[in-house]
Amino acid sequence: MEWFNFHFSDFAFSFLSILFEGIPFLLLGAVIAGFVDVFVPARWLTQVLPKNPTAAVFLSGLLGIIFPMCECGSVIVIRRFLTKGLPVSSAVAYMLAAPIVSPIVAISTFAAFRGQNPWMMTSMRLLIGYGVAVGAALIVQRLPLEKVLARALYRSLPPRDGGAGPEAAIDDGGAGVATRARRRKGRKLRIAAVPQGEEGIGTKLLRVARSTTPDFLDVTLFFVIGAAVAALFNTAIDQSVILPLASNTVLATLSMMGLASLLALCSSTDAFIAATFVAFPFTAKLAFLVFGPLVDVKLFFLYGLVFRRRFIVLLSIGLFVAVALICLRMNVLDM
Amino acid sequence: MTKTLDRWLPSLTLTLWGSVLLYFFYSGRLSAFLHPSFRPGVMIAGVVLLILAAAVAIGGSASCCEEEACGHSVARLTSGKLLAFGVLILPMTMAFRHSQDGFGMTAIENRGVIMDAAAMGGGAYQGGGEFSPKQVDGRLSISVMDLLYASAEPTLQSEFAGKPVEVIGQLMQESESNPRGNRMKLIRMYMSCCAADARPVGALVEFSTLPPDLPELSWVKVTGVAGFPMEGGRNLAVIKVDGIEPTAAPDESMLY
Repeated sequence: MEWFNFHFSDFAFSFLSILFEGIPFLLLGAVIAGFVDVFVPARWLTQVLPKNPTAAVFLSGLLGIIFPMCECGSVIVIRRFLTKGLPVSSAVAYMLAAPIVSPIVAISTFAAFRGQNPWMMTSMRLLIGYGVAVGAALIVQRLPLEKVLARALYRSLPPRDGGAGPEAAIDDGGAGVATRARRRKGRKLRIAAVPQGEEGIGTKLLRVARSTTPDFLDVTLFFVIGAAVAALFNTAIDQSVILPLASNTVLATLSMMGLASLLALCSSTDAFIAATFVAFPFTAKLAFLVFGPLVDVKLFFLYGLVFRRRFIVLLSIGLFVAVALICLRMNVLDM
Repeated sequence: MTKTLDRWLPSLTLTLWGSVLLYFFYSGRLSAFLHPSFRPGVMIAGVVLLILAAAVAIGGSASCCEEEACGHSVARLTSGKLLAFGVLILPMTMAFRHSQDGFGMTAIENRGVIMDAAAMGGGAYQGGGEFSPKQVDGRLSISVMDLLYASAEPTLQSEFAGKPVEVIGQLMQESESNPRGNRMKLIRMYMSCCAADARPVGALVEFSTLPPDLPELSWVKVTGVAGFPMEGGRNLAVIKVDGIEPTAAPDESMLY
């Protein structure tokens, strides 16, 4: 095969360089998530959200700025927050937006695209990511919860409509009697969960380490696989072969979105891999960076912890179409 | 069994990763892999990983979730823990053992050597108006990148054209712009962030007789006169060689 020439030392060199570049960012995200897990109480989040459900969704989409979380971590966090009364639409907005709208992702994207229009790439990534996440959350707001949430999670939620149970509930975004009842219930649950003795700072830091480690290792596992695929692509494949694909904007955009899903990279490091696809147009790399943190192979399984399978499939298709259309439209506008 | 795995596998993994990061940083090998602005992050990450490893070993477990509510896709299962350990350790160890501090011919040929500044995309040129190259023995000490950009920038061309220059790079065969068989490429790798995004860039070196018989990708110091002849509808950067000598790879083998 003339287009495929594998040489292990080249592969190893490229593979290690991707790891060395991405690991510090991945670790930073995991450490921050660990501190959030231990030091930020869940009730704080529900208290600061506005009562207006739509406003709550818009604000939730920005929470990643103060609670930066990678996509794997955000699934774990919203599951925790949902059982403590966070409206589902707000949870979806946070879950989808936080892996993109965060300072860590902004910094890493800017750093990775140094020399490749970094301001434009970073700002468009955050803007489109936020817009798509909020749009999806506003649609979820109008859906019955039993059609959205995984059965076990739905049953575990505090009763809505003044204690009438979760049946036929529509996500109310935090407004009205239902939410107040839920919050009261949630408060009781939280009080019951408070540890008996005050923890010292040493114990808390140890908990941060214990929370950080599995997050870091779990995501690094997928990052290692992604880095290997990227290194193979970058060293073994004759780049002139893929030029026809890269020169067709529609094919390039769709293929990069598909690749983002397959590579399942962490949003804090994916820009370093996207930046290496120098032959591909700007919008194709942008589509890679926006769609990857929203839907990928590992997220498809992780979302199953929170949502129904049918909802996940529809959500994935909707996000794919939305991101593709926006990015292709941008290309038409020559942005 | 599960408790033992929760305690020692993560600790061992973090220790290995932290040690590898610190080794590359303190041995200086990292310079071939990363842009200088990313290197301190590797050192800090190495230290933090070792601290986490110690904390997990002392704390007794790295399991933060209850089994049924665990969102960690692999680590919640015992088989997953072992699989994760293997995936995290084996590729890193093998790459560590077999990696050289640079690309070989296969990767360079697959990437294609850039001989035209227009193909550099948005890559920012660090020279421009404030550019003032060093003088060594009456010659301008410049890089392959300077010559490449000069081939597309008339103002920069006037800085170099007809002047004696000294350039360090790696030699490669030239097959396209070589009608008399007396030209080779002088290449360097140009990195934006890490070696994975590094692209080979080159200028031509033209000998008065046949090119020297040196192994491909040998590091050489070329002295000669820079020129930018129009060939194939564009200006090419060409050094007419006065002298060539093998040299050691520079401490910073990549251009940024």
